[in-house]
Amino acid sequence: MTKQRLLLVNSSGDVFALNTEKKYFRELGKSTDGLKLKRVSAVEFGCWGIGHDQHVYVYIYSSDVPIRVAETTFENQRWSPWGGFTHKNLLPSDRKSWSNETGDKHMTRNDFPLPSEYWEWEGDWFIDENFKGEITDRGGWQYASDFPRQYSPEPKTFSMVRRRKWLRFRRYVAREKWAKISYSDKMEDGGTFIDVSVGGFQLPGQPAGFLSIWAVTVNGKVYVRENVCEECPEGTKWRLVSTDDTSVINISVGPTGLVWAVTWDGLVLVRLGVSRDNVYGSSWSEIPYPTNETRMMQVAVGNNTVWALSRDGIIWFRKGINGDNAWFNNQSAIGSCWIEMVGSLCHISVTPNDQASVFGIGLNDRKPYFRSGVNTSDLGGKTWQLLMLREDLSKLSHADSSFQSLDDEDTSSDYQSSVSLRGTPVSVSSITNSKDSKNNTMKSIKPLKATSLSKPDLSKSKTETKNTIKVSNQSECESTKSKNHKSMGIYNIDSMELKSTITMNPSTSNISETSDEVFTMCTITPAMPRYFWVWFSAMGCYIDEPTNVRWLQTRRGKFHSMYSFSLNQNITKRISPYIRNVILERLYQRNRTEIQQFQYLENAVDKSSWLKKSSMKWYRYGYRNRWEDVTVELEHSLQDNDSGIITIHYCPRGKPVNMQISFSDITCIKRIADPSAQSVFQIHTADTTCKNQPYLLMTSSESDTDEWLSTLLTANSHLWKIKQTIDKDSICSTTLRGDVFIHQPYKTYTKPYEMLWCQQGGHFKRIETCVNGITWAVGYDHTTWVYNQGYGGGLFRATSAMSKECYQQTDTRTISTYENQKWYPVIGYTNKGFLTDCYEWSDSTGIQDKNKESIKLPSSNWHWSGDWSVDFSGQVDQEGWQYSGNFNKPFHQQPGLRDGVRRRRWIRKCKLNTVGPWNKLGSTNIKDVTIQLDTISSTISPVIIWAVGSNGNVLCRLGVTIHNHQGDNWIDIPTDLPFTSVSIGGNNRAWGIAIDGSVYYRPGVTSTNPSGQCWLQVIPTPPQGSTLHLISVGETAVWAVDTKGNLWYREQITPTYPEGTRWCYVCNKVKHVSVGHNDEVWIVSLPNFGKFKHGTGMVYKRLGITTERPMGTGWDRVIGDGWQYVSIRGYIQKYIETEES
Amino acid sequence: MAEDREVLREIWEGRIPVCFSLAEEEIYTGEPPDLYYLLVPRQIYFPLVTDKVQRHFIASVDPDKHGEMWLEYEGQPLKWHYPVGVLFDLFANSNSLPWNITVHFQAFPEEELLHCPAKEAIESHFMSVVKEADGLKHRGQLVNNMQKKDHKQLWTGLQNDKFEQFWSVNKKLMESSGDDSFKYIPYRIYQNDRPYIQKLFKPVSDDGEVQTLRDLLKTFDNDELCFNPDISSEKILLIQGIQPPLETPILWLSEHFSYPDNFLHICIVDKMKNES
Repeated sequence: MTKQRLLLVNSSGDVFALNTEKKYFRELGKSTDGLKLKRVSAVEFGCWGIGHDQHVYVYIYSSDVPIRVAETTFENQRWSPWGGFTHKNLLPSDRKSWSNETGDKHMTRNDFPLPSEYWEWEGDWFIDENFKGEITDRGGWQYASDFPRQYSPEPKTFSMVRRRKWLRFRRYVAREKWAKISYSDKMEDGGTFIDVSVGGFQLPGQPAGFLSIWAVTVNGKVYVRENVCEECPEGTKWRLVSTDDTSVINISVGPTGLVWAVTWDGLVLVRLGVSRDNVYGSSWSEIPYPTNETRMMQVAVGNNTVWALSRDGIIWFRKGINGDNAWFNNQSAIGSCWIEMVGSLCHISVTPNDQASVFGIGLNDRKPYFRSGVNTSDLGGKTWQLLMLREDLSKLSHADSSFQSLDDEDTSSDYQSSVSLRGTPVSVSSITNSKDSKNNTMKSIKPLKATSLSKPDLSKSKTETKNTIKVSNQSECESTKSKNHKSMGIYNIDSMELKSTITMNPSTSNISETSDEVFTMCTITPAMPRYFWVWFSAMGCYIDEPTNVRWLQTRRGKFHSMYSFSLNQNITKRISPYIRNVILERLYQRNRTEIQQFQYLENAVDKSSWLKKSSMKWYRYGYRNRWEDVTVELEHSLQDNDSGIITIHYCPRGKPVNMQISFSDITCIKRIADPSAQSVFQIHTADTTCKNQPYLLMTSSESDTDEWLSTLLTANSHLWKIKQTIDKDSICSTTLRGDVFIHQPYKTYTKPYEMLWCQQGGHFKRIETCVNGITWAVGYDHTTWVYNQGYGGGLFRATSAMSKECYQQTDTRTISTYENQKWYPVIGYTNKGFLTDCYEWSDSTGIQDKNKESIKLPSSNWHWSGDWSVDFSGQVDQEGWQYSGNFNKPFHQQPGLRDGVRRRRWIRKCKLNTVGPWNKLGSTNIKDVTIQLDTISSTISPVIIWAVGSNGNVLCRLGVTIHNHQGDNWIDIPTDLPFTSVSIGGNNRAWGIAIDGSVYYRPGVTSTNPSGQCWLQVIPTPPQGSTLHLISVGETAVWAVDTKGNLWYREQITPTYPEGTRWCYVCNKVKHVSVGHNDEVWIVSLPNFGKFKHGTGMVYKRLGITTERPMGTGWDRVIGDGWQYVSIRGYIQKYIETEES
Repeated sequence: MAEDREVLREIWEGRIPVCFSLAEEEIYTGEPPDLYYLLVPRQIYFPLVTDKVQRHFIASVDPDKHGEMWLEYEGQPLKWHYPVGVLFDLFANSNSLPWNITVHFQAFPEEELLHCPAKEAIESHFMSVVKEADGLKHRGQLVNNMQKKDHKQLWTGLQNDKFEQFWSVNKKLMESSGDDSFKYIPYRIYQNDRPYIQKLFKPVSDDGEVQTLRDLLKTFDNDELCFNPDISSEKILLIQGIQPPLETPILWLSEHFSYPDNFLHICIVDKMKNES
């Protein structure tokens, strides 16, 4: 997940960003020309703002993934007997010699200007020789008999025309900079804007990174910026949206594209008809005033909320808004009525989701507030709480000189005010105050509180302070005005804001409260212009769990702001993590002083053994498979950690029988993947793995299972090396549940099915490791996590003895189901009474019943985030439907005459909070990662790590060494196509697969040049039109898996010919492959692999790989089922196995 | 519910090194017997672990005169029915480690100590305190609804110093979610040379505020309690051997810092002289 930021603008026009993961806010980088911002509107990856010159600016946050756009054009030629292939032979009916792919537009290579000064060409035009995964004939030419026909890479007898593709990449270079948005001279307002709002990023069916951007000019005209998307952050042009002669002063766009605006007269308008095909809506509708005399000043639109402020600062909440439904239903866009809320603000901003969604600036005290207790069921929230804002002062020294000079003025005015206060015990802390002066403030306040000095005196002095602010503010306003002779509109607003400043009533602000502020926050009082806020934007600040955000805490007492990390989320609800850590630290201290030096003493209590007993159900294999009632007993000696026994007592045909499982025989204990069977766990032993009949035990509840698993693992911790850092040459794997299982090799060789697999904390989809002890993992939400040499977490909870270096981890999964309908004459599409060939709700195959309401969370540790919504991505119509003749045929977007059924996908996100020995790596999301296979030559030499970003970029991590597992930063390795998989094998030979299945080889990767030289396309592709999507490169061997689950081996790879000659089919039903040292190959299978009958996710190892037979001969079962991913790239087998069947 | 196992575990793991010595006047054999060292869990009661001590010293006392064994520290007879940690916090401090306890077999201080005839007496005492605590927390419903074997497991878990065994039952008693939230906090405040004090105290005030340790202390007058959190005094407050921040929510403390008898034993003691 990317960083979530709340943006703040102060009265000097500086913009600050407050990250949800940080304690402090920081100033956003400023442009060198001293641009000041009046207001901003932020989204996740950037923000739009109005500068002091009334122009619109866009600021894109830095990221490791560049914004890179490919321009393409085609060169076309026709053959004639006398001139061969040349463009001169093109017939008049043909396309032009340079055209786009369809041929309807004439485009020479010079017809591609850079869109703005903020773009640069990456290089010159070049010919793309890749044709559907194959390399074309010389010069990249593709041949056909005539123009809109099937092309082939080689000339054929009837090839009369040919074409080739030219490519050129351009790159957006204005990152971390305010880029001015161009405007056309024809705009009657001269491009002077007073308001801008960004949203619409949840609108379905739009290009990636689409934003709906609305702006208001000084004359009250409304414009939208068209075509803003990931590849075009600036958009292409402004388009006027008619407002029927009413002048707008404020506008707000919600995440779903819903637009509300306020007119000059204080009337509120809502834009109706916004939908995925008509993102800017069709008409305005007026919302009646809440009361006859209430005139609105500002609106803020969230997902399912609209908040507004009237000119008197009263807060209004609009009831009945449903952003997701607003696309179909006007009533959901309009809502039902206004509700007056407590408090008064002069500015309001909402987050894109419905948790903790409202921020505001107090009308009287100008302090930042947030609304506590907001959640999906109570969108209105409970109370206004002060926001704990603190600046990262370490960064402050870097502030540029323009700020300094401005600040000097301000401090001087402060100085004056404090002079006027001399004699009274209150001193105004200023930005430059050092620790000493803070202490002074504190000291001087204490006696004040105790003796309660003359109050009127103080409030008077406070008014004076405020007056000075007001003056400085006013003067600033005037200076803005002088710069912009036309800015009548903005002046109007500003003066209105000023009015609110003037109406500040000093008697309402309680002195003792202010002094508390000084006391707890030290840096923020209204007297400090740097923190005198005028504008917030929370639209780029998706807050999932307000309790985890340090600056959103509502607890009283001075521990407010001292937030630090907590292991267990439930604890944060009850006790501040700070106090908890203090207590825990004191307990550690107690145990250290009292026990440490006396450990040799005899223990007062003998601990011999420990018995646990409970009744369970046990799955008996055999003629009649069934669950049987049993009693399970765990006996474990605490002295000798290795011995322990599980006894299953059961009574077949009335006779009591015991079955015992010795601890030393257990190879793995894990939960099964089925979310509806949370209380079932599996015990694997070598024997049962061979038979594929692991012990299945079901306890009475999920928490019981948790306890049993935790107990079993704890009891076995010594044998299984759980209480130690994962060994370097371990095999890492993940299961379908997302659990992490590690095999740590022993000194001696073991048969594959005898290997021990034990669980570590964390939840991932992929995990990659290497011999150098660096392990990276990728979550379901594509977040990257790096192993930090700790252990424990997950099942072991937070017991200090079982965990080390465990931190909080989150992951998100998307759960989906299909709604199916069938067409009947007269009635039309319905889900009533057709359940003959499909369930009303089903999975994508239509075979399994999957009712939306009955879908369960993966486990009780998960929680839903958000509600069910229709998935509009892909080939679907307005309401998300896809049509087909019947459920077995492919679905398409538009209903045809022969279509009889339709379906649509519903999705819902759920979130997990867990703990594990993992550190989060930055905000760049990746979908695949590979770590160099070779052992590093020295401890300081870099380790090569490549990854595929979630949008298909290939990335290379710099600065990774065995001392810095996380590395420093990503660099982009340019590719012509988005990639799906990369792998770095022996001698740093890098291979990758693009989205169309074409395979690339990149030579020249070394520790000094970790990104290599250039991509070489590897041909031929596998036969039968298979699309490869996963690759793994061992010491020499290269193996790949295609989208249909076939496994391929690359033949005849030699040092002189590293690309090999062809792909060789090995077997099918393969989900994942990992190739490691000695070219050892392991796979994770799909169900019923080979001749075996089993579920999905069995791990196999390739047998019989020799120099003569590099493809190997057979498979040996390792563990399963229920696995998802395995990485053997850190594993070096201890000695060569003997030939076995 | 007590969920923070890390804290629970650390508390459970608390041990006090004790050096037992026989009272000089009771040495019968002439040669003083060797000192006897033990690492005693803070949560436990002395009679559960002093069998070995008794066996060690019994040979050195006059067989005719010896009666029930009792313990004394610096002239202070130690009540066996207080958990070891409470006794240590009240009378000793970490500067006096190991804790030198004098073993007596004569002159049982009848007016100060209860007799401890057998382990069953400790068990019944323990269970009665647990019941009293649950009476305060849940009007006694939970402990009464428990099965006999759960009571047994609670006791054996404590007796054998088995964290998992003890807490798998005790967590039910610490249930405080929903309808089962604590009605009152079971606590006792000990001060030197005064009887312990306790009052009814709700974890959440009537106006919905979460009560903290400081709020609890405020319910006492100055003459009841020789400890005022707002004025720095010569006294300190110890629970389970540490000074918890006064802002700690009392409910959390009760869930995590209670001794096995489910009571929060709060000790007000003099600041250590040789501490800063």
